[in-house]
Amino acid sequence: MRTLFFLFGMVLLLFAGEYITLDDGKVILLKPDGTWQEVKVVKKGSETIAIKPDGTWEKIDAKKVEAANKLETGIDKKYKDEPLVKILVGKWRGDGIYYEFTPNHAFMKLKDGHSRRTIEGKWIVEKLDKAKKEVVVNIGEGARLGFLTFGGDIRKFKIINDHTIQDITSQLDGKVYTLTKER
Amino acid sequence: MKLAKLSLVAIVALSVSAFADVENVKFSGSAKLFYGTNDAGKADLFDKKGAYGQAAATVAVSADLANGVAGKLSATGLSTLGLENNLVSATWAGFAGGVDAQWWVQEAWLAKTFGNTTFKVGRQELDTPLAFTEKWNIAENTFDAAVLLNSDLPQTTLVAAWVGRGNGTGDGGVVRGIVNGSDPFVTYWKDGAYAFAGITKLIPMTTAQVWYYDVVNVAQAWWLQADVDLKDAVAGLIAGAQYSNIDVEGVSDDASAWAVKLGYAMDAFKLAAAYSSTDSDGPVRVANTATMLGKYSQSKLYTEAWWNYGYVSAPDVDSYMISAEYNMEDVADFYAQYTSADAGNKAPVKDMDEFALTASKAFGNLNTTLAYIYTDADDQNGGDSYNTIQLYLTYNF
Repeated sequence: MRTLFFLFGMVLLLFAGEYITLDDGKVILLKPDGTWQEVKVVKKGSETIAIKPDGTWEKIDAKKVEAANKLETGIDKKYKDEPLVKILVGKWRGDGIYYEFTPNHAFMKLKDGHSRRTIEGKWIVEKLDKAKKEVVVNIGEGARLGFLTFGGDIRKFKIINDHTIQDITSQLDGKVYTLTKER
Repeated sequence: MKLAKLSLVAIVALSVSAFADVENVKFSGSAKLFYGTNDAGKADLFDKKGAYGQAAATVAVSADLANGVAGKLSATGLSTLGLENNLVSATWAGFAGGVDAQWWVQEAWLAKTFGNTTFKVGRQELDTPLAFTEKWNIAENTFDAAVLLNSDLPQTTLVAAWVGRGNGTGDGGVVRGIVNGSDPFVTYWKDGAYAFAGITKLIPMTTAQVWYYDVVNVAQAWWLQADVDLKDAVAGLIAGAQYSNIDVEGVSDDASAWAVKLGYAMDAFKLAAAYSSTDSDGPVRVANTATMLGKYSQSKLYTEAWWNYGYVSAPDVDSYMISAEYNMEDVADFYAQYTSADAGNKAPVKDMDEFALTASKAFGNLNTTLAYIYTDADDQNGGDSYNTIQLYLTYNF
């Protein structure tokens, strides 16, 4: 039983690290113990491998290698470096609602009766109001013709602080969702 | 005082000057296929006899125009896709229409914001404690209404609403079926209804709401609710209390209910427990007026069951509910709920116990939910328990 708990703990530690891509293209591993080390990320067929300086390697999910400073393509270039937009990158959870934003991909899940409404795809910043701290994003659109967009959903957020946002899309119905950032 | 109904011409005139600066126009929609089966009576699971299925499609166009104007137009269609030939014997919604295809305008509204005040008029969804759009079914009821929202007071929203018509029904199908092109939207109860509310966060850690309803020439009602976030005491701990009273005109006894809730949420894990009690002499359920306070009407009481509506809200019933939810990343979202309704001698229902277990997973824009429900009600299936399995498929585009 003790061995089982030890192994379980080791597995937890292994999966607790985070990979970040720096501005200069280097990829570093942030360890749970507060240290970091540079790794080399290579592709092996369809898999992404992180090669560590201590001689070990690990298979990682490519989408989990986040860009630290720069937002990748998919974000409207006009707003791509805005701090309010960068805050959205991450995982957010509220009562019956969940978002996951990466630099070039977004996922929304909203409780809808006994089912859920899910939208997934690239996301674009439609509007940014710095004074009101409001960001309007378009998630998962299929096509665009000027101001006409097809598919996906337009969601409006009010940024409260680094770890709290509000989804005010349905504010006209008196419905405001408060979400907190997941660790 | 009666708010004037706006004609279609007036609604268009309201927005014509704003069309010069369109911010965005979104075309979107959803396609649903719901299937359910149970082993009540002599049916086995997946027998045609005990199964019900239907498909629905909704297409919508929503617009954000300049000068604080927004609007939305959507239509919903129902079809059995011929499932009644081999697989099912009943539908989910629009029962009066039978197996015929049905469609109607689901939403058609315009909203204009002036400073801290928003006016929204037309066919729309509502989400108030005693008049709301029920979202559990394959089709949702909406209202022809005018709503005024104001947030001039700090951390407070004031609401005034007039509801003229609705397409809700009390037969369990949520929306009125369409027969020979009939209009499913009818006058809301006798002469429409008003609702007034104040929702405030001025009390620390608390969202308090007070609602007053006047269903004209039918009933007056109050709904009071306070939801407290106890994060300063214990991170993730929440509590809530509800009280409602419905005074039906011409009836001496009022219907009333109270409920309390305690919950805990931490990241992907949630727990909740609730208790409610309804007055023994109440003439009606404390439930959704849009679906006629009927035996299948959903209620906003914390103890409401997952599937077997109409029990916890009925007069002379004491109920409790416990639930757990866990969102397992990259696997599925799991939910379990147990509800027990203890009916007294004056209740229009009998004792009911329900256990529901659901698993939901998204595959891109396709969401799938599988549900298992165990029902043991003394007034269903001759008092014998039975099992239900349901599949919900929803694709958003």
